[in-house]
Amino acid sequence: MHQRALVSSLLVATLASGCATSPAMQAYQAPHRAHPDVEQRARKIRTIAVLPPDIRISSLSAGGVEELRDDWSTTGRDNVVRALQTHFKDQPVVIKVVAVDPEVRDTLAEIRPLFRAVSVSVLQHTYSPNPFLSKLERFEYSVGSVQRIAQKANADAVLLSYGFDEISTGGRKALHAVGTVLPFVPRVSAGVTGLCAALVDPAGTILWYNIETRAGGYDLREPQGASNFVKVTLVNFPRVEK
Amino acid sequence: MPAVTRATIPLLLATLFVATGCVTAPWVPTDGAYTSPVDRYAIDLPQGWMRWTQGEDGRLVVTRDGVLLQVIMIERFRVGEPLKHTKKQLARGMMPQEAAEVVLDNFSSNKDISGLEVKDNRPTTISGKPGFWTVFTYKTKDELKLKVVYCGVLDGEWFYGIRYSAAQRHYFDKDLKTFETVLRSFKLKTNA
Amino acid sequence: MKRPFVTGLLGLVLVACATSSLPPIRDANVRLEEDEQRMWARVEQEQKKFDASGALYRDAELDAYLTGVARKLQPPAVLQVIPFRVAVVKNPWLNAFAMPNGALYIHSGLLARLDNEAQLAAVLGHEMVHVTHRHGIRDFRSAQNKTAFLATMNVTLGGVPVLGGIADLVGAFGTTAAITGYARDQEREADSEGLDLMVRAGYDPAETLKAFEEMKKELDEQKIKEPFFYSSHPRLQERIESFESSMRTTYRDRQGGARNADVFLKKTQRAVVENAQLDLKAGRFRTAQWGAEKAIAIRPNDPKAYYILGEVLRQKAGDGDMQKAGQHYQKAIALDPAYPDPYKGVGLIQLKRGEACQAKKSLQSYLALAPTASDRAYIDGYIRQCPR
Repeated sequence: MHQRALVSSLLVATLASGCATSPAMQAYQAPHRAHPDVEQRARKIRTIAVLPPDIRISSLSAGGVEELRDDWSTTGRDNVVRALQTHFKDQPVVIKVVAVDPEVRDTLAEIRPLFRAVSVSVLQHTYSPNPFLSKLERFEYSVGSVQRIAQKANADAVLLSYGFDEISTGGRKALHAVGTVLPFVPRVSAGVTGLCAALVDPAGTILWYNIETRAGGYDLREPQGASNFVKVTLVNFPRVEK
Repeated sequence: MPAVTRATIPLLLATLFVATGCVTAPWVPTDGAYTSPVDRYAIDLPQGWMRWTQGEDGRLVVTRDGVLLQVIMIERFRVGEPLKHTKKQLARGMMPQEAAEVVLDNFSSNKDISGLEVKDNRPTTISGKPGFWTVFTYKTKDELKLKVVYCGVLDGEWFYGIRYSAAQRHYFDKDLKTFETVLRSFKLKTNA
Repeated sequence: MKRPFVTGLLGLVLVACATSSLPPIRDANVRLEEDEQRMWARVEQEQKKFDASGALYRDAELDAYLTGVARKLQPPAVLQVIPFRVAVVKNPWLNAFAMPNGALYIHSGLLARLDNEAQLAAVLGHEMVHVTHRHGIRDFRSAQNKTAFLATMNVTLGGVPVLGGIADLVGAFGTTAAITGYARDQEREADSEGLDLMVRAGYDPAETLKAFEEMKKELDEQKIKEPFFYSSHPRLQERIESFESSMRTTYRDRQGGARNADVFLKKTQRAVVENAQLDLKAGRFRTAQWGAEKAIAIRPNDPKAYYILGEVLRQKAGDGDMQKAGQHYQKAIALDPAYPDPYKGVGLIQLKRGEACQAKKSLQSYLALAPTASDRAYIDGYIRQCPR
């Protein structure tokens, strides 16, 4: 067992010490993850179907008690959708927001939990200090066929996303401010904003994936806040050719 | 020399610790034939998968994409040992069907899973001994639908459970044949 | 110079703290607070998920009966605001809980232990007080307030390590105890007000004690230690003593009342059988046997209850159990010759005794009645053991 661990570590050492340009190291250093064929496939994408993002926005009290706010979450979702539409406005690709009919709702109910499970796996095994080299060398994950959804929107690909935002209450903001100003005082964290996005082909293969989190500075309830965060998340999105 | 960026520091530190033998990597690539040091069995693990090395309970855990997506596990219980969610126990000389019932009742009594449905439950031969093959589905607390093949065999005072669990959507069908190959290679080692 | 700053900060944090004292909902004049409305809406979402999860025991007649009992305990004015309804959860452990929006859930395990409508009213009354007295939102606000205070102490005294450390300890301990004590006060309120509800509705208050006794029996049987000091439920013995004191004083002149055992037992009989099956799966053989016997006492011609008795004795496999198990299976077959499972039970016992060809007949009967049985492959194998 030790021998195998040593071999594994030597492989990692080779990565780290030898080739700075090795595919696995390049993939590890990149903020996003991408399928080996992403550039070739992205060129053919003309229409992207956007599924309603699963956005959860909570208020965070001074003592860290969290309350999920449905009203804020709805606003955040609408802001992210509008931000996505704006983001792709100047690119040669059409964005279509998928209307949620009963068939789409049933598919979403299956896809969303699987997408989160895929996301956990991607984080654990391609972003952690002990990544699976095989997944770095060949990033291949799937959410299962989304053919029907792509067909309904007459699209070449589907964009999946989920996000969260923690909005500090006034009391918490005050404590955070004290913590940043006074030395040797335990810091109370500002709320965290996060967004995960994946471009998926009709077969369900993830072509491109990114997840961004920031502590403070963004508010998905605000259109500008959502727009700025979408920009940050999609910064390395594959370019589509005219 | 690689660029020492924020992204590479954890990787370099991990390499340093592992290469000096201070820490065993939590996951190591599978290497074909595997013999359990304690649990007296041998098995051929699929190439290109990863094996978990940190388990304290002796379970063998391998995955390719992540344990939530697909995992093959082997566990061993002594007969008469309490199970996690039911007070039923496995016993020496139990028929495979009885052993399957205890295993299924252990799963169905788990408060963290819902909607357990048994799809298949039949006798099979494992390492030349009469065992069972069950297939069931359930939903986790996070609403992920999982499908499981759980095979079991009694060998004297020990019960061996060999499990393949995968997300029902897309992943289960993908590696079912891989699991069947692994299961066929499972060999109990008899005492010398 | 620091003190005014600290005081100012505390003031800033605490001015935002919501009051955790709210009047109970007694009529339609109540106005739900904003955060309370959000809580109700959130709870509706979670409730839909829970109801669709397969966790509920579906029996429309039973649900209607239980909801009817719950609604008897409240005046129409309250029911206008809170649409109380009851559902049964498929779970053999003893528990009941209430969502802030009036959805009440009772575990099949607890329902099976009760003997009459008065005991049910005691359980439902307790849970309904948590709703009418707005314990959900009060708890949530209390947690927000107390943790805010603790966080403030943490931050503002952090610059003075020793003092900060002691404040941390005292603050933490005091806060935890306060949170725990607050919840215990709510449980006491639910006990005393719940008792009042059932007395006003004409039920026999003495039946409340029997509900407590069932819980105590469960703790003893499962060898569960008494919930310790930090538990949110006042200790069971404390609750029993408090109840007995109420019976000697407040309700001294209110002896007797409705129990409605007959209708309760008839309505709950099927749930008792289903729960016995859950107890069997959980390996709680004694409780499963007790449940099946209770179901038979209510409805003597219940083939499923006899089958469960047979399964308990077969799976336990003690001396002499196989014979009794066989008798129970035969009784189930006599009551319903088209019920497949008891034939399998008989066949498995015969197989274990080495009577392969006797077993063949029983198992063939099983498969004839259940041709698509999920365990068909085993049964076919057993049948082949008889050469004839």
